Amino acid sequence: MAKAAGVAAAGFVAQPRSLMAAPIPSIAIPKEVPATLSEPAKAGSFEGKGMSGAEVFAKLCKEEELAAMFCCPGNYTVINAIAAAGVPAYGGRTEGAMCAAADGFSRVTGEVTACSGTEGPGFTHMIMNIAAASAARTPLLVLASNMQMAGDDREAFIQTGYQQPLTEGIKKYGKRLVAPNRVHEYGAYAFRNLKGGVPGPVHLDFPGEVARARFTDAGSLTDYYGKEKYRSESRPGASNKEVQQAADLISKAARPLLIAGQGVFQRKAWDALKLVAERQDIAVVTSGPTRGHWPDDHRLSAACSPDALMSADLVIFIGQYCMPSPGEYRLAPEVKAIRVHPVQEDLGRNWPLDLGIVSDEKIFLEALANALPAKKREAWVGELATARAAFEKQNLDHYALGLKHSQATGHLHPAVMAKEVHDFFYKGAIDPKQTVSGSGGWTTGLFASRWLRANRPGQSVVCAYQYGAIGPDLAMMIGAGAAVQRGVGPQAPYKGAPALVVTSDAGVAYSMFELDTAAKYKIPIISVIYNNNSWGMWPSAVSSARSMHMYLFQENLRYDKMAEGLGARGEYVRTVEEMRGALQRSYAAAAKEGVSTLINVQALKEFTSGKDYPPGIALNAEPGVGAFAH
Amino acid sequence: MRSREWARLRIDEVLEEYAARGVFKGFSKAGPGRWKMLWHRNREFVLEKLTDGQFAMPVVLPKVPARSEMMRAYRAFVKGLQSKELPEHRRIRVKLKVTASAGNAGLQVEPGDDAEYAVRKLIQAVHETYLVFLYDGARYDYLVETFDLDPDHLA
Repeated sequence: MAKAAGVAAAGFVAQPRSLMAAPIPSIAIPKEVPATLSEPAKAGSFEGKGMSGAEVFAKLCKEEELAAMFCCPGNYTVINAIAAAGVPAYGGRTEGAMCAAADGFSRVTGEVTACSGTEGPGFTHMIMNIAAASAARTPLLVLASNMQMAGDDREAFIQTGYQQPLTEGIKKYGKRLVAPNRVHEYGAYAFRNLKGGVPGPVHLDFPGEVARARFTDAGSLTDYYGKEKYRSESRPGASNKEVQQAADLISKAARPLLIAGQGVFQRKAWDALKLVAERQDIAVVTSGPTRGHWPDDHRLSAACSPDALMSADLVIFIGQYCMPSPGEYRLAPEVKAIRVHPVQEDLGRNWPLDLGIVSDEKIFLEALANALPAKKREAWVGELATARAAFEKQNLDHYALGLKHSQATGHLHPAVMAKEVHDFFYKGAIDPKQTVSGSGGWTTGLFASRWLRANRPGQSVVCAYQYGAIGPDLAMMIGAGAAVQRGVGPQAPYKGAPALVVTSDAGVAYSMFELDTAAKYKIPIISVIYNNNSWGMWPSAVSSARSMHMYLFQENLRYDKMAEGLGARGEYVRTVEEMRGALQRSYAAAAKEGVSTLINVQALKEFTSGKDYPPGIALNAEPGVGAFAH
Repeated sequence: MRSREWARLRIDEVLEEYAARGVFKGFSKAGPGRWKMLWHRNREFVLEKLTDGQFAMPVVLPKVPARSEMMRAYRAFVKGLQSKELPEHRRIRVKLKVTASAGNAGLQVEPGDDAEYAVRKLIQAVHETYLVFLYDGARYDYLVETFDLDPDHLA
């Protein structure tokens, strides 16, 4: 049973004998935190001392409705200005984790978010998660201070570095701002890229001369006009002929499968998607870093029907920003392909097409809904249902085996952990559409993703999507939790609900300290940590001399105790009964008190072995619930 | 019954069609009745037309001993592809069998009177081998040992 945060933390502190009698102070949120969070916004003004470059930029961010900023101190002038302008701001423990949090916030809302770090060290700490955001096509504004131009090439003082080359290949647009009076102009560049076409990270670095420049009137700023002038909401649309071609191909297909990628979510096109799919009984599976824009529990969902994927005779990719190659998706070698994408240059990349259409996803789906004649495909719908039943039975079979292993070893098998999480969040008293979830880790992710569900837009995050980073998961879901806490976009109906992350002992090391951040902002996170004492890929060391030690941690580490030391709750479980109790207590604490919990699920690394502990670890079919590559 | 010449030309076309669909990453004709394709896990597969008219792919899964549990499982999997319980569009309706040679598992198909259909189904069977059969947890160790599987090397 968990102890209250603060009390448990006492175990970590060795006190001199003279202080033994003095009570150890509890972990507490400084009064300045709620006080400053409740202050009214105070944007810069040209009056008096005028506006700083940072304030000009912050004003633009506010007008562009930047949804949130996650940062560590550093880049002080800019982050202070953005917070003061009224953009929701969060300060955390590492820049990398804050970058992941910003990504997570965006993944469950589709909104533009920002992260920020200082000069060289803070900025370079973000690199892994900028790359993850780039792979996920997240509209992420990466901000960093960058010393002064006056010190360029002199290695003046500390932290000198050229940032822009370091984000080469992992950004959509980047610029070191070198002309102070163009700060607004380049802010516009940033948001044109963040809000137009296929999104991706935008990296701006601010030398001191730009951030601290002063402007007493707008006349000295270049291109100082509003967003309605510096960018357009116009989107590309398919011609009537192209829509009709697509409609004809779909109508002729016996078993069409629509793969609704991130673009469908990003463009909030789920209602149009529903019209299209239901009009002709088209199977739908989502792809990308977020799930739920097609509900898993819909009769036309193929997300939990991997056996049916190979039956599709036509695949329609819509908004699939990161394209797989044939052979990476479980589709028949003879399947025909349509791809709808907002950028012409990407059509035909990786996957040869029978029809490529340049169009905004929402515009195309709305047009297609009007062009498609109604049609029933009972056999296809029946095959989806049969495949879904087979998948669910396989999951239950894995659970039964896992339960046997758990009882025999006194350690919890990942299939058991995953099913218990599933039953608690989707089969009990909680609205199965409510809880935003994410999963990561290797063994953990492969098992958990088979059981996590997305029944409405923005309900689930594929934390490791495409880039495969192990570690950002917890921080990413704290960011997602912040979006739920604020009720942003599709999270509005579930405002304030707890968020869930299921990840690994390897992964949690990268962002566990952000439990402090979750506590500080009262973002309720239930983090289930599968603790198998190792990196998931330990089997690759089995036959290699002098190698295994590199894959192992100390056994039985107490992540739950560490969480308590950070102001969260901790739970330690090894049995089904303990797991059920821990979930109940964790949820109650999250829902009623806004308190986060880390549930340390003690396991064995050997559960990975199919020989000793069948079913072993299985790769999941893509696309579908377990997909993370595309 | 179609002529042998027609069938030979048609097989060329069929395989080129798969290459044009991106199913094969690379493809070439390697001689009379012999084709090479770069395919799953970036491995080279060879398809041969045997003297008795059958089509064979001698190495579908490398390093599978003839009497191993994996070979037994693979035979059962391939038999399942021909099961009447499958929907009609998924069922392989030609005689397709697993071969064991030089420590590898291969596939061989009898074309009957429709060589194109037989070759297409052989391609389908290999495809399902890599995208379904090997995705079972019982094959994880094989993937690690045979294909150096790790998260950096999945495709």
